[in-house]
Amino acid sequence: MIECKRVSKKFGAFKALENVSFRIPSETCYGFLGQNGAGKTTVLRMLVGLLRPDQGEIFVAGQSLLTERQKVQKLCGYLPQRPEFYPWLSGEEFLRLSAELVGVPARQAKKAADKYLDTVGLLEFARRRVGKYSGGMQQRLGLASALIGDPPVLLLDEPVSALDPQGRDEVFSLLKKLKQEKTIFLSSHILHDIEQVCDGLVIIHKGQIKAQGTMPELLKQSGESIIRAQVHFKVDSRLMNQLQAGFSGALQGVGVPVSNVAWQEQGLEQFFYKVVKQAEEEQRQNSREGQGGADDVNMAR
Amino acid sequence: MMSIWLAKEAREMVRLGRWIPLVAVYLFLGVLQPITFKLMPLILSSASNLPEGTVIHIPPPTVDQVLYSIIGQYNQLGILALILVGMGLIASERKLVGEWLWSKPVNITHYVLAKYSVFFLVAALSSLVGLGIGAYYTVELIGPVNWSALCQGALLYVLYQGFLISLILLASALVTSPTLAGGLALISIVLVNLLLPMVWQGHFVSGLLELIKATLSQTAWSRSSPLWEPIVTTLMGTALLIGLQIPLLAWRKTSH
Repeated sequence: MIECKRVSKKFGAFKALENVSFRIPSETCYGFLGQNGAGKTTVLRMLVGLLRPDQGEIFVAGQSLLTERQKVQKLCGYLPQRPEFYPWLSGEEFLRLSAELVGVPARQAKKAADKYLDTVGLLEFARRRVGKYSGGMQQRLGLASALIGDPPVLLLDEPVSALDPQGRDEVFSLLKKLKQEKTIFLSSHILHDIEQVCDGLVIIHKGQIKAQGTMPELLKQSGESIIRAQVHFKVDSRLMNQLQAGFSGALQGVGVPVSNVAWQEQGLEQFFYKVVKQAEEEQRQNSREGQGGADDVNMAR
Repeated sequence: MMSIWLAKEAREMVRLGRWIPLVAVYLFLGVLQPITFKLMPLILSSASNLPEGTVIHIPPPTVDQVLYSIIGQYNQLGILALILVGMGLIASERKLVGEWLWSKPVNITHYVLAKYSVFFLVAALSSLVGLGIGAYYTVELIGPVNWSALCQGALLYVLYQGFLISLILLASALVTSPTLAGGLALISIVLVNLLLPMVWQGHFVSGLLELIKATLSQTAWSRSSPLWEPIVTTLMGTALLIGLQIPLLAWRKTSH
């Protein structure tokens, strides 16, 4: 359904993407994981026709993006990383405009706008001007705008980054339903988010694809590779000991507390689940203690 | 598709109050000129420190002089109002919602034409109403107006205004900074108003203001150059400037 073939892109002398190739099957949800600046947004913007690759080909639903951009844009719902919309329109007016732009007849646009406002939990704010929406509300509105017109492909650039935990859960529940009938490609640098909803994963690092496939395929592939994880919370000595005890390989930390740990581990699955579980546990404990907590786990292989 | 953009542009024009400076400036200039001409002798005598007994003789203005002075003011303050309103029409939109907007299957021709149409309609109506009010005060304060000549002159000015608007929108499509777009538009218009007459005095686009003047003074038919020339070239220039925006924005769409 989505296929990138040897796509490269330079911004001046900076190589943003180098021979990026991946394939995402129809009616699945794939995560696009990578650190900030790895090239996730560049790829997503290319998939929706906002950037032209210097080399390579992109196909969405069998249509070449280079020759059939308008058709591809009709097939894709896109949520930008920092969604910004006309502040002088109400949420409903904005969605009606979005609907009509993707070919929904004017008579049905109001109905479609109400439906998707309800889907993202903004129906009661339908008449409020978008300029008065909070960041989270704008992100929900952006998601509604991506969904309107019922496109078969959804490209979501960090779709829950501005949402609170409840909002995240709601959006992930929605995506779980949607992936039965749509192809979803969502970027994040938060492994836990991707793991919640995705069937597969594409990992990008410094503009190069490092791994791709379904979750079971990736777990098989992992073998004895070095796994480097960056956890965006303080790893205190207690957690460090727990991690060390839980992993068979060597665990290297840079001082305590640390935010970077690296270790060698048999099988990616254990890594995924143990680190995330630890992070969740930490988050729960810290929340109870009113200290904030783990909210971010980032990894690159 | 065009109707979507027309509705959106009209709503934007109203909600952001973009029509206000246009209406205010054109009405103000329309009213101001006849009053200024009428009161000029009084203003001069009260403002100057001339010795007692000095007599200032100012010949009474003709009606066409007063009406053309309104066009003259439109061509200065009016242009500034046009630039103020138009400089961000495309530039600000690209900057604010470009990523969302260009990810949609937007028909750029419709997008550009809707922007042009709504802006032109508001500007043209403002200038026509301003001229109408100016003519009313001219009748009241100076003398009778030849309405036929005024209508022809007004339509010619609207044609020129359409050309200026296409230039301003092109500047706005070129860059993403509204301020820079405003500067570019101002420089372009100054060049059009100053340089073109040097090269093509009385001809092509630069002949249009002269044609308006001649129309208002009912001497247009005695002009040496053909009447159609400035009209047709202005229309062609407008179409060209609008047409340039379409490939420019299509190209910008993938590199905004």
